[in-house]
Amino acid sequence: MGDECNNNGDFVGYRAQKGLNRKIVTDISARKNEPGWMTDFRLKALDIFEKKPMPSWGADLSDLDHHDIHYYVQSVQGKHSSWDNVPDDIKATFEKLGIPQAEREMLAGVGAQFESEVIYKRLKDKWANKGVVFLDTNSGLNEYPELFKKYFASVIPAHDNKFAALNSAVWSGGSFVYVPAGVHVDLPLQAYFRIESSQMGQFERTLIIAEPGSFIHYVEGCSAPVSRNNSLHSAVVELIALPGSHIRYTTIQNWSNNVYNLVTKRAIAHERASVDWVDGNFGSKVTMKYPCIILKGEQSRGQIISIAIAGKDQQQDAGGKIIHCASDTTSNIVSKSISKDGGRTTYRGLLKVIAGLKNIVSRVQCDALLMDGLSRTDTYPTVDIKSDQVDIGHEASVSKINDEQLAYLMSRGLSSQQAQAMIVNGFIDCFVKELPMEYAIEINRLIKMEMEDSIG
Amino acid sequence: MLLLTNLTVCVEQKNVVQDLCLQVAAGSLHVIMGQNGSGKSSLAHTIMGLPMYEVVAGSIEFKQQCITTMPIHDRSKLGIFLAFQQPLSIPGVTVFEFLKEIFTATGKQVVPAEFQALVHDYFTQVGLDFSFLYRGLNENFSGGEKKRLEIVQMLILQSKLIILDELDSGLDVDALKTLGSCVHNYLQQHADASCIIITHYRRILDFVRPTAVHVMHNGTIVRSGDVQLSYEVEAQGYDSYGR
Repeated sequence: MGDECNNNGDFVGYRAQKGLNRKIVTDISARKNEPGWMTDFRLKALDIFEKKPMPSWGADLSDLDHHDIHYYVQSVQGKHSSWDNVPDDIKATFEKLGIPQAEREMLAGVGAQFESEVIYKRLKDKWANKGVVFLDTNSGLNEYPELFKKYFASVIPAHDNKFAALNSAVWSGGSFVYVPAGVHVDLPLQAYFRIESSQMGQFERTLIIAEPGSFIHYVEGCSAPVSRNNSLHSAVVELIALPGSHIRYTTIQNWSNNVYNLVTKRAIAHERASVDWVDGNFGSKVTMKYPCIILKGEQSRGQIISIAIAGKDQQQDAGGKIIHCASDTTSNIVSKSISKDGGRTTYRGLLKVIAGLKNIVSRVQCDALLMDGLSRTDTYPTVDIKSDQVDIGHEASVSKINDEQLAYLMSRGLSSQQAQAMIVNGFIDCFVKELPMEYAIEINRLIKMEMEDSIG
Repeated sequence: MLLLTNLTVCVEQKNVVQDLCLQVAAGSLHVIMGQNGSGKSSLAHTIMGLPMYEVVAGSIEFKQQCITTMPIHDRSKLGIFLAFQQPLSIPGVTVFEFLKEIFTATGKQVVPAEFQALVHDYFTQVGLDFSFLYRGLNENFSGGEKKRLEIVQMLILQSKLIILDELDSGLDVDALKTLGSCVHNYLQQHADASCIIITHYRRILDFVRPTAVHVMHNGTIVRSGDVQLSYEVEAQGYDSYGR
């Protein structure tokens, strides 16, 4: 099955044949030396995937061909063997984004040694001493089998949706993170390792467990455009915030314009726990992503802050879901979207409060900015409240880029593009403020680039 | 420096400026007075190049160059500055970020420490607290605070033709004195810079030295004179110019 170490082409590694069947799934599991329960789990998930219909709501997925996709790729070496072979447009993008040379090489798939590895090693040791586990998910399964089995798929079961089922069948890579009770991981985990994450497969599976009283900020992705051979990215991310813990999960992703980005992210917050999803979606052909927080324990709180930018031929169908299952819980959703050059953004949200709860506070704010008359934005907020003692606030706004604001800025010597970028950066400022500094700078630059080129 | 020849301007099929002629020499200060709706602000917006204002006849020359159809930001780069009557707010963009951006757009290099000192100096001149640097641009500013920030922008851009569109509206006496003196000092230090002051009242003229005073009515200049004219207007009102 598949082409292994194909020496006369660029590709070095193992890649399963296109399409999906039981043999391929069994093969993936066998290659990873997985225990029997995982092989069974994958095969069951495959059945579910095949039986479930494509979602009939949301973004248009009619061009997605399941049979024209490699479901497993194991790369031994990057696509480009040296920096000189990296295409000029990619180099130019890195240049504009101001990404350091060492990182550029890694992002472009040039497998080189670089200084950050030293930092990586030192930080890894520091955390290891405190009992923090940070592994790729496959290693997590091998090294911590009981912990893994207890929590894996406990938040997002395979039958949750068609693409969660697909991920469950063919998952590979992702991160497994365990933070012991009371430990605070003070640096954003992954900030130094984002290079690794950018080379992850398209069916990554991430599982984060925060023990009582712990804190972790996990960051995935970066603002550089990530191109894939395969056009489907379908990840599953599960967060378990045990009593009194706090998990913050920040995503910045900028996919190339042929990618279907269909991701399921969900967190469970136990008593007094906090969860924040900070989610930035750029690029891709279609994104469907609605990070969810289940407020299971009393006094837990959840926050989802997201931005989506859709340009020509792009659909960003994103939002957030909060489910209040306990009293004295609070939630906050802030969603910002920008549509330009005929792009389409959709906010799809769910706010649910089950029966018999008291002292529920929730705020939902979604703001859409339209850059021109060709673009489109829609809002589908679902609110399902079964308790009486709730304080719910919902605000939504759609604004067109304001000609008078543009003229004001241009009267100070800024070009039309500079003025637009400034207004957009102002519009998403409340999101950017949530990011670690280096990411915030990159995002501002990315917005400028998006406004300068009509297609990002 | 500025030459308006038989200028007619149309907004939404209505002529707001009608066959207007005006010459502003380098180093001179012209005052345009008139009632509401007489076309003063429209004239200011037209010189700046705001897109809504369509020049249907006549021409605008600036420094011997025809700028009648020149885009707004290029006019700014040539040295034209308009202090707006009602400056717009841009939420989420900090004043500091904005000032840095417009300074950079002039082609000057931002050296962080020097730029900080420059901005602090300008803020002190106009009497604006430094804390405003980190607020959203004109976001929840009072009328007076917005006007002070307009003058900061004038100083940052070091413009050659300064148009003040009712700078005095919304200002108390002290603020008017501060900003009037800022403009006066700027013109003293830049002998070739010119200024057009648009106003209803003559009180701002106590702080500057007008070369000429004009009265506008129905989109055109109906009377011109020296500073004495401003006293006349104040004493008699605008009604006498309508007939």
